[in-house]
Amino acid sequence: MNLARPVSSQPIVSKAALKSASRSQSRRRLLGMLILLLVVFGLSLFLGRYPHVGLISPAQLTEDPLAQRLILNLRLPRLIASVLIGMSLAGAGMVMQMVFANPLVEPGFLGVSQAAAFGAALTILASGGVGWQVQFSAVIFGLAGLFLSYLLARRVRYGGWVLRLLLAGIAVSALFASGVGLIKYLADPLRQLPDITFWLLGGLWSITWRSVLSVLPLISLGLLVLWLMRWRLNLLALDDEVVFSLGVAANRERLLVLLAAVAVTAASISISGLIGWVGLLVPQLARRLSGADARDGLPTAFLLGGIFMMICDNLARTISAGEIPLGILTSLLGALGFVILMTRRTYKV
Amino acid sequence: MNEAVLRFEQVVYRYPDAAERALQGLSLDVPRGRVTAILGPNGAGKTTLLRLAYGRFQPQAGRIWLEGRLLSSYTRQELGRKVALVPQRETNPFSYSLLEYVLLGRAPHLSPLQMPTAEDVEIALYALETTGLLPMTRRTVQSLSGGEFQLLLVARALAQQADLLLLDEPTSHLDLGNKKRLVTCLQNLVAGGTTILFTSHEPEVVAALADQVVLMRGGQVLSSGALEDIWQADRLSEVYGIPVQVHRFDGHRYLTWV
Repeated sequence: MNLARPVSSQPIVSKAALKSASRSQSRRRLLGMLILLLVVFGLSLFLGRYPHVGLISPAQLTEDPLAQRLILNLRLPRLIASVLIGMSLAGAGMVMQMVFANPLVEPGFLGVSQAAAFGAALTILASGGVGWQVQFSAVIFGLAGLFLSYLLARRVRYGGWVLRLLLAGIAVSALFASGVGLIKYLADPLRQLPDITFWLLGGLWSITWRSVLSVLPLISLGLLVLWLMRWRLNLLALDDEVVFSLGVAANRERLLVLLAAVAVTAASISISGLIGWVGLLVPQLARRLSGADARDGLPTAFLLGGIFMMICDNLARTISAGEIPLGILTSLLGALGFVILMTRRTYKV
Repeated sequence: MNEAVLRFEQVVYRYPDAAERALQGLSLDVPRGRVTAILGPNGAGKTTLLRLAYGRFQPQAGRIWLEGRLLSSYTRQELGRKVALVPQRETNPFSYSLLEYVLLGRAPHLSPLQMPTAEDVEIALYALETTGLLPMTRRTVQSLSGGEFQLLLVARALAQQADLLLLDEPTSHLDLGNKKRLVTCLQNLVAGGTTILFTSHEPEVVAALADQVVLMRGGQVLSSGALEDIWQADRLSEVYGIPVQVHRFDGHRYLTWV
């Protein structure tokens, strides 16, 4: 019985060609993006206002000790931070979109962002806001937000596990958002409110080597876990009964990758403040470039996220003499990019 | 030869929060290398039976045997290698290629941190070839018609290389041409030694495909046996509660109910 009757007009492809072509193609694409990331990194190191917008030339660098210090102590940690944060937010976004089988989810779901914001604002209100205290409090509250969502989800008596987590996350987010509102209302409008507002808008101007190194272990570990589980993410997006029948302990694995995603998100937010849209837009873009399979999609999202964040931060620190909050730029570019993606005729998630 | 791959013994299952039992003391044998069809009205417990068969739910009473071992003694991964499921419907918002989607069927053979190997790709491509989908391997899942998607789910289940294939109303959303393709594909699989257990609301599909028929109603087996013995007007009338006639024409059995 001949089953392979021609259903599409495409030619019959040989198995061998199918096997080799797609993998090596995607490897080349990833390598190309890695090189692009390094090039952008290198250029960004020399780009900035010193004192006017432009690149610092190698000649200037050899004879100007101030320029050397600027690059080594300010720009280098800041660029490393922006790559880490971009990778984290984009990777976490990809993971959340797959676990919730919904391409419109972002890392702030499950109450993480709002809880971290609440933690930071609370510390600024209580202690005036020493850097590391704000950072620590943001991570702790971010994880607490996840934990609260998780506990609440176990109590929700409606829908499957994924829907319950989502509903719980919405409730927890709203709870912490109202808390942030209350703190803003109570804060000293001259000393504390500007700090809180800047933190809510996000930015990397306060990044030092110390703050980068403080989040580096957690972010590296989280990203490593996600990278190792990248093929597995595809399975976690399947319906519960299907993933069960494939012999996968889905809820345990979902919890593990969510925990890793939330950890890198909270760590990122803790040094940068709230930065939106990256975690929503970049995974969408990554899937368009590499296809839906997270084996390629996740590394693509990592690299794209890093590149996107460096470019946004370059703009934030060079467009005007004063710094533009990074969160405003990512929202602007992210929203524009999203509109373009959604209105293109060939749109697919 | 007539060894049962799957055996239900007096199995009782009640959903949490449900007032009535979905299965009440159900016993059933699924013989190796044959096609067993479960037929019955809505709410008879057909889907519940399948869910117990792949270990999703545990019975409250009675025993389920898989290849001579208690089903509850298998790990989840072992079960994934023994029993494959083709669900009634499935949603996925992402645009996978057919090959990527079928590769997911290799999950029970891989450890959590392992990537599919070249051998897994080989097996997935073979499953696509068997279901006739190989020419469109590069297309995305979203671009498939309902019938092609159903074949894709069969291909993924084949990539699992399980001994027992469970299908939940596999032809319920398909037009005639796609029904024919799916039935032919399943017939080829059985010829290759696969054991199939499927539920259906479609007598003509059951008559075309099944060796064994189980008639269910109210969580119990009304009657079961070879197709010729079960395909009788009185038995079918009893299970659906309406008068049904069985006709023979050209070697095929037809059922009318109007």
